Amino acid sequence: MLNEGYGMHKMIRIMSLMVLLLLCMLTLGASVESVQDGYVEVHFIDVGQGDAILIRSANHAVLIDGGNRNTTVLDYLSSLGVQKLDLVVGTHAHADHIGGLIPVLEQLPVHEVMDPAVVHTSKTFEDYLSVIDRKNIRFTVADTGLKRSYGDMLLHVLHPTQPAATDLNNSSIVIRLIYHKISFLFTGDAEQVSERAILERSGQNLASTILKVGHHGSSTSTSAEFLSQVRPEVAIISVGEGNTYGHPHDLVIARLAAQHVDLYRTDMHGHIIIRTDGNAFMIESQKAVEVTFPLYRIGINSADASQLKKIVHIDEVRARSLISLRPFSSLEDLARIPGIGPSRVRDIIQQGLAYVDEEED
Amino acid sequence: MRAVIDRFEETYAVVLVGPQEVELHITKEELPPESKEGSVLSMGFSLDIQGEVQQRKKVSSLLEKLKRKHLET
Repeated sequence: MLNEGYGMHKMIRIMSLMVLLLLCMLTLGASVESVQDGYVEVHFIDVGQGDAILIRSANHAVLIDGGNRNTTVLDYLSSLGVQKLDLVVGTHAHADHIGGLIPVLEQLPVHEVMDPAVVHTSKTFEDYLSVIDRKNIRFTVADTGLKRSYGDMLLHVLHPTQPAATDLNNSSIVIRLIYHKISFLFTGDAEQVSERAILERSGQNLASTILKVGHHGSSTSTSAEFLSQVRPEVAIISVGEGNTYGHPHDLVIARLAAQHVDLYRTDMHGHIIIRTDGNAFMIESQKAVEVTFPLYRIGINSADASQLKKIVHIDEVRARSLISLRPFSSLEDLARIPGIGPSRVRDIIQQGLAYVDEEED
Repeated sequence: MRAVIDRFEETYAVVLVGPQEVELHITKEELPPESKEGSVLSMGFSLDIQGEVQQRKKVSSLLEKLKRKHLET
């Protein structure tokens, strides 16, 4: 029943998406800066390794994190003509999230700052608090159950519950944004311990159309269990190109692939903008990446050994026999590889990384 | 940790730190007096417990001040 309903919903959504597309084509060029009445835009700003997300409607604007301490985000807001912010959320005290909020708080009128209020000893955090103090900005301690509404946009705080964890990642503010039928889940750097707490508190109400993947795609976050409750259609990873930490982690990519989530990454797509009328959504990115899905899947008839080894149960030896046994007509056909039986084939299918492509000439 | 002085710019030394040669700008006064372009430095770290305690206190009281302000409004 649930599944049928979902399918129907999806069809309606595709149809309304076409209408939305038409509308956008008609109005293109009319105004690049302001948001049309009835629409919400969510901008995942490419700040390199860090997070910065702008939510705006015709009359409201909310900023979640600001990347590292530079003016990238302030410049981005200025270029859009954003002149004031209803809310600034500093998800947690790490410099790659709050650093860039400092120039924003200095330059733009901000009605309210929401923060987990956990002490950190960096000068960046001190300066961030000092500017809030100096500008007399309303300071709200984030706590589960807090709500804000801006027109028809609703923001629900799902984490932390006070007193917040002193481990900063797990003090991250997690917010669900609901705009009619479209919802977003913003997770800061929350790790699996927080995900479990969130699941316990609000398990059934986590389903979200779009997920901002936690902690830049680190393996510390985005458990399969969490993902299966959120059930996103689209996942966004905010991550710096060639970062030294190895974000996003292959495991997280595989978990997303296993659930057939469409993936966008700021390191590949640049700024990512999602526009919605509350019924359908469309995604625009700064850089065109030819294939957005499946970006991260491995074609078994063409991938090299190092790629193939990312597939579960495929080690160096099996990768070599796989290559020598090509072509494969189906994933089940992988059972021809010595050491791979039907149950391992099931694992491979479950993992979602491997797919059958045409063999290269 | 190994670091190398790449060059001097005005009053700063541009120091490349660690295997990734992360760039740090350090005032000349903070370096050994005989440092020169190309000097290889050995960098060490030690915990500053007192510094951490002080900063925790400072930031905690700032946080408390902001929370109280909100209660009053």
